[in-house]
This record gives sequence, C-alpha cells and structure tokens, in this order.
Amino acid sequence: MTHAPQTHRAVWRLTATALALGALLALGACDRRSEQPTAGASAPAGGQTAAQQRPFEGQTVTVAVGSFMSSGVNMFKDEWEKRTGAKLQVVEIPFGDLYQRLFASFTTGAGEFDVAIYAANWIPEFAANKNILSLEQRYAAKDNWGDVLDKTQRIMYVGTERYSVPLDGDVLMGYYRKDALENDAHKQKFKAKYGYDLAAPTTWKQYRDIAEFFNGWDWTGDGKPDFGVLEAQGPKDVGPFILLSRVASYAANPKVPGSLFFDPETMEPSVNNPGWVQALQDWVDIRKFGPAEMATMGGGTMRGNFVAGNYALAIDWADVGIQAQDESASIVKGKLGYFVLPGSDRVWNIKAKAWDKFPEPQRAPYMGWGGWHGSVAANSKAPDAAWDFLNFIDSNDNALRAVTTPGTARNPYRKQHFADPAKWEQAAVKYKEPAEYLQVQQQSFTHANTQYDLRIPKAGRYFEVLDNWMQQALAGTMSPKQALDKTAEEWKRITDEAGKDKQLQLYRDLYELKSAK
Amino acid sequence: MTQDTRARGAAPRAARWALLSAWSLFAGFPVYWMVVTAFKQPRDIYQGPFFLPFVDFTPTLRAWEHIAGPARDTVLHGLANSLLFAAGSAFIAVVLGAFAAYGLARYPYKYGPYRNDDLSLLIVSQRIMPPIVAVIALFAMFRAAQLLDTRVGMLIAYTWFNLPLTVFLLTDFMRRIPVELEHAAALDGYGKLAQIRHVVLPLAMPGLAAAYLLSFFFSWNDFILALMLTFRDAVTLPIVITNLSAQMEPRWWLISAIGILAMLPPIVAVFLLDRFIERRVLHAPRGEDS
Amino acid sequence: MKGPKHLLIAPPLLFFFTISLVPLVFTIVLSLSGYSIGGAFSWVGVDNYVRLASDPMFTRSYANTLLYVFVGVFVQYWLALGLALLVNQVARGSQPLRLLFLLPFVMPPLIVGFVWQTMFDSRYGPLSALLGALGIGPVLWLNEARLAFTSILIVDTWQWTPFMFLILYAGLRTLPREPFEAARVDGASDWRIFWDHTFPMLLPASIAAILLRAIEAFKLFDVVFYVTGGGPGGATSTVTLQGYFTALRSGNLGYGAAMSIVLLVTVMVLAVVALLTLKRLSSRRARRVERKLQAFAVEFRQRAAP
Repeated sequence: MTHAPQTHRAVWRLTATALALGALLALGACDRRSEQPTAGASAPAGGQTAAQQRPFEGQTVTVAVGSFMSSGVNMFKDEWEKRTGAKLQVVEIPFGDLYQRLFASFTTGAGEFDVAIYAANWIPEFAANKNILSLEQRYAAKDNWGDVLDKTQRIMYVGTERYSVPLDGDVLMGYYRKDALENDAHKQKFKAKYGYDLAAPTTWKQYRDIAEFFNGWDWTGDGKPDFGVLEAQGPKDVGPFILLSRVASYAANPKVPGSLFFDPETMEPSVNNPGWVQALQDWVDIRKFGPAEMATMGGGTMRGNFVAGNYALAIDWADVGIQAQDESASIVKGKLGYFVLPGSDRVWNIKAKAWDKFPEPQRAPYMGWGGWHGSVAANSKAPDAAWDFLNFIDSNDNALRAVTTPGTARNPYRKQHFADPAKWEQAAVKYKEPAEYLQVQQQSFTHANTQYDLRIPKAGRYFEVLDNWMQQALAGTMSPKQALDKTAEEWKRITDEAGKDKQLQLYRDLYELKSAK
Repeated sequence: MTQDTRARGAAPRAARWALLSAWSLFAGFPVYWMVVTAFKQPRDIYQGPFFLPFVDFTPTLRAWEHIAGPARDTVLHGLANSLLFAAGSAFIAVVLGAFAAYGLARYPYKYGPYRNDDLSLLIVSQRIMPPIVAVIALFAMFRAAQLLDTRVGMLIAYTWFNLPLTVFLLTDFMRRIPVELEHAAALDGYGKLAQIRHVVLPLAMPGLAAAYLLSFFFSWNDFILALMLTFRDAVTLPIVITNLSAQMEPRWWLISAIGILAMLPPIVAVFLLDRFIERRVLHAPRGEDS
Repeated sequence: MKGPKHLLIAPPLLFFFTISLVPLVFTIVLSLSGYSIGGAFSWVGVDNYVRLASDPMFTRSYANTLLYVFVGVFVQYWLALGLALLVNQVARGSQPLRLLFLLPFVMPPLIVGFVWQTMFDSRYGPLSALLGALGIGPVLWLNEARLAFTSILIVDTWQWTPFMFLILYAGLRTLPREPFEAARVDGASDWRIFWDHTFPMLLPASIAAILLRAIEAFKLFDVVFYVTGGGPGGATSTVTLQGYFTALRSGNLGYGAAMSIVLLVTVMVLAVVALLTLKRLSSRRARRVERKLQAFAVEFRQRAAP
C-alpha cells in the first residue's frame, strides 16, 4: 500500500499545477487587455484643453461584428480611440452563428454590445423589434450621405427612417480568365464549334457554352486538365445567392416590378414559375463543366480554389477580385476579366403567364445579401460614441481605405470608390488593372433592372427551404420543377405563419410599390 | 515451456506490430497533414497534394508570424480560457463524480420509485439531448444569474456538461473494486475516509485519469456552449478558430497553425496523466511489501 | 453512515435540477409551439411531431443517425478493443503509441473537417494520389450519396475510436493480472484466455464505453457539418445537424425543438432496452466474474497481511 500516498500527492500536485498555470495564463492575458486603455488615454499628452477633441473620454464602445468583417473594424480601432478618448472593444462572432447570437442577446436585453455590424437584410427585422435605434435624426449631421450609391441608400430605409450606417456594398458579378477567353487559337476553335465569337457571356446560354468549351482539357499548358466553371454549389452556404444570380435574369421581369420572389399583389411565391425552373435547370446542367467538388463548396472554399486553380468562369461577389491580387494565394493576378451577370432574351411574366421575348438580353444584376451595415443597439449606454465610431469608419477616407484593403470584406458602396482606379492600384490591395473590375460593379449597381435581395421577416427561412430543395435537384434526386414546387409549398406555409398581409405589405415596401388596396 | 511461448510469440508479435503500425498511419496521417498545412502558402493548399516541405513545396512562416503578431492577444486569450475551463471543470467533475460514483456503487438509494440504476440513467440522460435549442434557455438562465461571459459561469457550465460522463464512467470503475478490500481495511482499523484514500482511490486511478482526460477533451473542443454563453471575457479557443475560418476565404494555414497550438495542452494532459492509466495497481508482487 | 451517502449523490442531482431541468422543459414547451425567431408564440400541440414524421428530409436524417450509431459504434468498439489489447501487450514504449492514438480525438473538429475534406478531394487530395498510383480512377468520396455516407463513417471512426480505446485500455489496466497468469500457466491459449477471462471481466467497461459512445454518436454533428454539410442532397445529414440549421440558422425553434425531443426519446428508450437486456444477459457471466474477483480479493488480502 505504499503506492497510495504517493499517488495521492501526485494527483494534488498535478491538478494544482494545472490550475495555477491556467490561472496565470488567464491573468496574463487579462493584464495585457487592461493595459490598453491606459495606453490609449495617455498618448496625446501634449493635447491639453482637448476636451472638444476627445469628446468621449472614458466611455467604452463594444462592437459585435461578424467574423468576416472584423479586420475591417480592427484597422480603425487605434486611430478612433486616440481621437475620441473612448475605448473600443471589438468582439468577433463566427459568421454563421451571428444571427442567432444577436437574436439571443436582443431578446433577453442582455446589453452586451453598443454596435452591431451585420447583414443589411436583417435590418427590417431588428428595427421592427426595436432592438436597434433609429438613426434618422442623426443623419442630418452626416455629410457624406449623398455619395452612397442609390440602391444601397434605398435598402437602409425601414419605412421612412434609416437604422444603419452603410459599410459595404454587395452585388454579384461574373469573372473570366483572360488567358482562356482572349486567346486567338481558342477563339477560332470556339467560333468553329458554336458559330459566334468568343467573348464575355451576355446570356446564360453563352455562359454554358463557354463553360463546356473549356472544361476537361489543358488550356493553360501546365500538364493537368482544367475546368470550365467554378461556382459555390455547396449546402448551407451561399448557394441560394448564386442560384438567384441566374434566376433574376429569367424571372425579374422589368414589366412586372417586384415579381422576383412573390407576386406583389397576392404574395403567391414565384419560386416555381418557369423562370425559376429554367434557372435551376441551367444550374444543375452546369455541374458537368466544373470539378465534382463544386457540389460541396461554400463561398470561401470556392474563392480559394478559383484563384489558385484553372477555371474559365466564375460567379461571385467582388471578393474573388480582391483575393486574386494576393500572390501567395493566387496564380491569376492580372489574368481576370469581368462581366455583369448575364441575362436572358426571354423573361417570365407572372401576369401574362408566358415568356416575354426581348430583342436584347435582359440583365438583372442581383444585390445578394445586402452588404454589411452597422447599427446602434437600443439599450446601448453610449449611443453618441457608437454613432461616432460608425461614422468614422464610414468617412470618405476610411471607407476608401477599407474597400481597397484585402480581407476587410468591405466592397465598394460609394460613388467615389469607383471614380479613380489608380487609387486601387496604389492601395493595400495593389489591384492590377482595376478599371474593368470597378466598371462592372458600378454598372451592376446602377442598372435599371438591378434586383434587391429578399428582406422581409423570415427571409432566412425562405432561403433555407430553397437551399434544402435545390440541393435535392443538384444531387439528382428530383427534377428542378419538383424541387421548386416543394419550395413553393413551404414558402406559402412560412408566409401564412408570419401573417400574409403583413408580409405582403413589407414586400411591397421593398420595391416602393404603393400599398395594396 | 519457455521455448514454446517464445516461438508462439514471434509471429503474433510481427502481426501485432503490423496492425499497430497500420492504425498509427491511419491515425497519424491527417495530423501530419494539418502540421504540414501550417507551413504552406495559401495557393499550395488548393493545389497538390504536397507532402514534404522543401521537396514538394516551399514552407513559409507566414501563419506563425501572424499568430505571434496581430493575432497574439486573441489566441492567447482563447487558449488561456480554454485551458482554465477544461482543466478546472474536468477536475471538479471528476471529484464530484467520484464521490457520486462511490455512493452509487456502494450504497442503496431510494428516492421515491428511483433506485440506483434509475438515478444513474437520470444523470447520464443529461448528455443525450443535443443542446441546440436548450442552449437558448441556458443563455437566459445565465443572464438572469449574471453569469454570462464570466469565467465562473463557464466553469459551472462545463462541470455540468461533464459531470454525467464522469459519474457514469466512474460508477462502473468503483463497482469493480471488491468491497472486501474495504472491509479488510476496516478490520485493520482504518476509518471510512482513510479506506477511500488508501484502498479505493489507488485502485480507481486508471478510471479517474480516463474520466479526467475525456472531460478535458470534451470541454476543450466544445463550441455551442462557448458560442452562446461567452461574448468577450470568457471566449474560448474553438470560437477563435471558427472566427478564423468564417472569413471571406478560410485561412487554412492560420487555422492549421492554431490547430497545432490547440492540440498541445490536451497532449500535455495525456502525457501527465498517462502514468495513472498505465499503472497497474492491483498487482502485488510476491512478498514485496505489506 | 446514512447521512453522508445522500451528500455524495447530491451534487449531480443538484446540477440536474438547477441546470438541466429548465432547458429540458423549455425545449419540450417549444416543441409544442409554432414559435420561430421574430414570430409570435402559438400553441400547435403535436403538429410539429406529425410533420416530422412525414418530412422526407427528417426521416432521412433520422435513418442516417441510427445507421451511423449502429454501424459506427459496432466497428469502433471492436477496433478499440483490439487496439487496447494489442497496446496492452506491448511491454515498453507503449506511451508514444498511446499518445498517437489519442490525437485524432483532440483535434479541433473544424480542422478535422478541413483536413478530411482535403484528403478526400479528387483533384489534390493525398488519398486520390494514392489511389491514382494504384490505378484506381478518381473516386468522388463526397459527391455520391453512399460513398459520402461511408466517408463520414471513416472520419467518425478515425475520430472516435480513441474515445473507446481510452476507456477500454483503462479498464484493462484495472484488471488483476493473477487470474491471467494462472490461466496461462495452466496452458490455456490466448484465445481462450480472452474469451473466458478478459472479455467477461471487461464487460462492465465495455458496456460503459459502448453506452457513452452511442450517446455521443446519436448527436453526430461536427464531422458531418464540417466535411459534407449534410450533403449531397441530405444523404449524410443527421438529426442534430438538421436541428441546428432549423432552430438556430433559420430560427424555426419550435420545429427544431421537436427534433431534439424525438432524439431524446429515441435514445432514452434504446438505452433502457439495452440496459435491461444486458443486465439479463450478463447476470450469468457477472456472477462468474464476481466469484473470480472475490477469490482474488481474498488471496490479495492474505498476501498483503503482515
């Protein structure tokens, strides 16, 4: 029995050490954090009588930001703290779980943060529940509002009030590989096979042809077969937005505004009309022109793959362009061409219940996801400081800096961001030949038929249902029509649950349609 | 006889090592892959496969520079919290669990219609329901008790999380210790507490160590509790890691590097506790001690 | 001696009644409601459960979960047992081995997903490079329904076998050596020793390992979430995965709560049935083991006596 006392002591020693170590580390990390405010506060010692220069001395602003955009906030932290004397605490929340974390905090009034930075699509909901403050009064003092793109301005209103500060603009666009499409030999072969000139696609049919043409052979000369297209078709990720990039051109009829998702008179889902079905069919067909792994790819994985591999075409937000400039991640710097989302020469008309034919391909650029916006929490104890911070990171200089720095997830949303390509070449992102990139984005934002995203309550659920059923179509277990019929059924149920009249009203608001009788 | 056993030992021994090597390869290769990724350029990650540094690809310390630089505070903060919560809650869970297990193994309980086995099942049933919806209630409860985003709160949460496991596991280990040994010690004049210290604890040591390690591992990798119940002060490593992956483009080189860091404390824990699992206490060499 | 015994069991029971009970009731109440984030509370009775029964995606997730548990736990148990026995026989140098074996279990789940996704990639994964060298064409591990299911099982086995290994190995180390030595001296073969002595004596640890593993397996989430996201087309989805997306990602709390309750009830029922069956089956063997252990205890006492 001589083992026992030794064992006993050893256990105590062991756990005591572990706990002590843990406590020490925790304390160590703690101390580091508490050092910061003193550093920030004592820095401008020379600036006495700085009461008006340091208006928020001693206050703390806590910012809850989705992980995508955290660096876009952190890059301004020190500067703002020095300017205002307040302390900024940035808390990063994993992007996928941002919504429910904010929700839990809002509904229990936990008061964990002063500023929330999240998706513009959620603004109406949080505003309706009075979780965020209306910023309408404060906007009078904002001096650079007019420079924000019109469509981005529009999505910030809930009724007649603005509840957020814009930080980012989201629109989907197309990318192509110049070394594929602008090569003369390829052009000849393409023309011989398809009968028209090889160029950036203006219709989805052309997109498909180009994808087919470039798939399965080595057009880069590196000894490995290359692919025609790469799109994020994976489940539970950005799939629905990529699908909608196609749907918009087949179903967003300029003659029937607001009919993309629902019938604006009856709230009947448009999801299973022939326009949608055609788009989903296209998307299922495109699978054979890309790598098989495309079916599992989320947006992030798709971006990493596209810039590191050889794919002739892709659809994404502006992020691929930024990613392509980083040579440690990308082999396509300077090799990218850009195009506005292709259109279609026939668009479904829900009123006429027939296809409308157009002489020119109708395009419908799609503002998927809405972009990152910042709001002030209703129970914030430092709303003035919070507003100041949001304005600070939206100031002309800072906004430009942010959108031209890689990794911030902030894409252009002000007119001046598109004005001077040279700034993009010189800025942190070192964009090579940005003119076309900027042009395509600007065109997408200002096109007459640009489509907003769905921003009524339960938008997340509508999209989740769509995602579930479109995955079935992609997996081949049912036809696109069947999948979309099922989607429509569930969409009806969700609408009824949320209150059909209420949803209809909010939906009409989105498109600035007058109230239904 | 000895010749027989040796001859019998040769072929099985080769087979034994073959099997163990096969599993080692299977278990170890993905870990190797993670380690190697931590030294790759982003574009090498999406091409390949590149197996060997300097042979297949040029290694880079980019990831580590980032960890030692801009990400240092965040990573250390998460690491320290995770360490505290995992080590602390595992310890408490094992202590409380051992007591409860001893009770369930030795004494008959009867609360209404519930007897020992029912109580055991009740306790372990806490692990059955996935906390996906329950975690919202937990959020509300913790908020009401002002334990949100506190270290104490997380210790309580993880102890609650691990206690069912330790109780269930240790009950079984306790049961297997022959009660006669305690009786014998009692005859020798040891009090109950002394009996436990000198008889039960040493014999249960492998079980205690195993329970500690498993509790440590479960707390270490937990995400959903950390997501909901922490915000800033009590943030743990899995949150830090997830934040790094939920970016415009997942930074796998960074994540792999932090992954290596994230595996070190559990490895140290295994290393430290190994001798308790390894030791064969129920083994009395002839005439050695008394 | 009466008082202290209640004190011993008090903490776990206390935790149960203060921390577990409220969320449980919360979940049950939600499951009977049509509540979703941002909506109004409404009672729908058993409507959610009825809908679950006819929801093809849920029935698929449910079937997948059951399959993962039964196939996975079975395979992992025998693997873990085999490994524990093998490692137990290694005289020296078993520590690095055991350390290596435990590594898969401590790898952060997110990284497990990423590493295996890369491993299975048909373009740049090491697995496809290996298969390619053997002349086997591109295998789309994660793209075809049954292959994807198998892939998840492979990753799950890789990750969780160490869990059972640890418990079984610790169990093995707790067993007294004397009965085995006695049996070997008597000329019994390894196989006989295993079946007559080791396995029966390890039965309690085995049951604990299997039950604990099964409980965790029913909650399978991490591996599927990070490797396939439930695809292709829901072929690899599990109840917890679907519940997570339903309740937390799209805010449909009532429906998601119902899924949690279905899982809870399933596992409780299975656990009770399993334990009752095992009790009856092992009572005979247990009595034999009891006798052996008692005999050993007497001998131990005699030897340790001054």
